Amino acid sequence: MAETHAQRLVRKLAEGDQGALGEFYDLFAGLVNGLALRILRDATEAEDVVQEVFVQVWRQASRFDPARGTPEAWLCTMARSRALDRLRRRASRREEPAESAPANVGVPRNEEALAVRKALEGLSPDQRRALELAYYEGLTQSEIAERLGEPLGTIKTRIRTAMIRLRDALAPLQP
Amino acid sequence: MTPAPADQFAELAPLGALGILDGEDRAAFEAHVGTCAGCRAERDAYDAVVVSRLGLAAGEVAPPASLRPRVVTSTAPGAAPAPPLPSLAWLGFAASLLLAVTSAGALYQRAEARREAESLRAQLSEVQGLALRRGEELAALRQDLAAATVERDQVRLVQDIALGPDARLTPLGGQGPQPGAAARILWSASRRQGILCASGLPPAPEGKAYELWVIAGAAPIPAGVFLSAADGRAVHTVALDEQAARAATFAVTLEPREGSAAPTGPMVLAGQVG
Repeated sequence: MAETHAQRLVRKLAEGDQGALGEFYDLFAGLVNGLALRILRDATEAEDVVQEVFVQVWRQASRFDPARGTPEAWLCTMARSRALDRLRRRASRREEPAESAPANVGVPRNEEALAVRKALEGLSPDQRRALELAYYEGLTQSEIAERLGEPLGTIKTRIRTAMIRLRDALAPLQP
Repeated sequence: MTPAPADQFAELAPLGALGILDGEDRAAFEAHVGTCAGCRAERDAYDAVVVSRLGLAAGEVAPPASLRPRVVTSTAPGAAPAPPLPSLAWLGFAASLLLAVTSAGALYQRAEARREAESLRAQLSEVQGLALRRGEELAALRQDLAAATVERDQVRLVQDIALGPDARLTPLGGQGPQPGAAARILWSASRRQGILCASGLPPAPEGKAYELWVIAGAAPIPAGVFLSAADGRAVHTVALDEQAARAATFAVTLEPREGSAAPTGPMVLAGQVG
């Protein structure tokens, strides 16, 4: 399969091409910022995550394997990981969550993003809620069960069912 | 060919990919995945197809333009290319020879200037990195300060009420679903203020909050919503209007997060003014 523009940029970054970094930022900063904002609900903290992710991209570009996923997926994984780290550090300092930014203000970047949103809308509200607590708040299965007032077994089954439905919906998708 | 995943661990694979396993499930799954290629592949497939793409659903939000130079320059200091030398193609040969002689000195100065510019750029990116770290520290300190200010104001309120002429302390006992809860309200009718301190109140479920009511005759008067901390304690300051200052009973119920005009949920604390 031919190399995509984004894959080419990552390859250039791995070769130490500093000029490619600006172009890579222009392509993907909104994606990283949107996800960090959704998790952290704080614009300043989200911007810090953007900075951290692009530093990591620059340092680890040689480790990116296009056979394992797209650059977007790679960025989402890094952004989520760093945002959840900050969320946990914040939670250990204060009890009340800061709800300063509303959910779902982001614009889907392409058809793949629209397909993911559509797949999520295909879940039941209970399934979606449990998945959101897992993905955007980084809760464990026990914490989700406690938050929703449901037995652990019910939550595990519910999330597993949701993940199977998402996998069926998204597997045919071309990256 | 990778072997088929063992059933019990195959069930955990999507949860493992999502990163939500804890306790024994997590330990068992991580140990198993170390030796079972089938389960490892199953988990990795869920990660690649589902988890790594879920972030796309959040949508894009462009960060402010001021972020770009901070990120690109501090990450790769040489990313901004040096300005190119001007073209000499329009000059005649003699003119360009003369220019070559005089420009040798100019080229040396230009190289010096470029070296200095690079040194300054490096220093600038270092300072930017430092400023970023200080900014992070400042944000953290601001959060701590905000929390400390709230607590300081609560202490002042307790002092003001306790030192006033008509300070009253009304105990509330646990009710219904929270028999282990307890609270006291320190309040003053003349100051029209009170502060509730509670313990043994588990954090309210999703979408709910605790609401205080003042009963001074007819219908209960709503007196604010509050949440409890993970350790079961809660502090809630109350403004009592003229009617509420003649309180006979205080009560706390569990209501929707934004509060209710009249009690709808179960009562968890109640106490009569003695």
